[in-house]
Amino acid sequence: MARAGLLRAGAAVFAAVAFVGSGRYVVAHPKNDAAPLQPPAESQLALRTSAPSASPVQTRTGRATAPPRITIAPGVQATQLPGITYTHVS
Amino acid sequence: MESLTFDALGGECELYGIDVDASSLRRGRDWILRMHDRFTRFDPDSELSRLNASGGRWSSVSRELEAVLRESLRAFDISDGLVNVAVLPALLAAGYTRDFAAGPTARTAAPAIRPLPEVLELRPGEARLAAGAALDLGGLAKGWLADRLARDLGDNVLVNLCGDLYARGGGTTGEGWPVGFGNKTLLLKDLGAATSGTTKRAWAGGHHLIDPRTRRPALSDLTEVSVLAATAIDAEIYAKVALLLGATAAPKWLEGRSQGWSLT
Repeated sequence: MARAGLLRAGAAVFAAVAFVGSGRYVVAHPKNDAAPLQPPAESQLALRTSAPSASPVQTRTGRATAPPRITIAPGVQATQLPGITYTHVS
Repeated sequence: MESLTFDALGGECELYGIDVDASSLRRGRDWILRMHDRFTRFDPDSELSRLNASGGRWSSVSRELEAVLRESLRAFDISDGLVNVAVLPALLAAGYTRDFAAGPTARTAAPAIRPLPEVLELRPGEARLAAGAALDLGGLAKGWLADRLARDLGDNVLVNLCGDLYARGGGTTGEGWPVGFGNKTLLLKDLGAATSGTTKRAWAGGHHLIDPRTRRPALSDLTEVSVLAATAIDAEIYAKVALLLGATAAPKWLEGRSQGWSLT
């Protein structure tokens, strides 16, 4: 009887420690959307072509279209920063 | 960073400058508005409309219009005739006879489109356009204006005229101006970008991009092409050619000419 109680108490303590510990870990490791890709594959690929994804993408006009196939020369860098403007059909 | 947004050339224009004062951007805007008044085909009193109505006589033209006309001849040459500003009669026949907001008019029989070098002659300060020919400078004028204004505004500026843009200098970080391109953001430094497409200025049965080979709105398997090039006007030329060539031939044509492209 006493042994069963001891086991229950141990399990409860273990669960509490795991709960508090994982919570602290999550709080201490927030997601950084601006973090660069590691390794920095974006800038190393020469004349890369993006593979079309299966789903359509939403354009800035709100209309769904097929995803663009993009090819970029080695000297041009992509960035995770938002663009201050964009090229578009006028 | 200073910035200025305004409407001209049929859409929204944006000017950005680092170490450029606000008054310089305002002077740039005023210049664009003056050029709009000269190059529009929707005002019968514009310089372009007067040239279109000149009936085959030599007409004096401003330095700016002369420069755009020379670029138009170059565009025809490097595109093997696919970029031809003399498509205006075919554009009118397709129904794009007035400002787009007013809506299209009835479609009529597509007239012949003559090669630009056959209908346009230039000499310093003067131009002669063959009787019956008419020009629509469209995106070429925007590209040329973006290049010229970026050169005149300063060493670290971005000029975006309705989607035709030139990024000069490295922006705020020195690495390039962040510009949306397809579904990515690219850092553009001393590069032009432009987009050609058939989804805007489109109406039932037509759109504004005429294929000189068919004299009708282009039937391409691409709906939108964005291109990078050394200048905005080259980007504009390349984007039009790529769209007209279609998805299979476009990459081969662009390779060696363009620093990047997005095909949709």
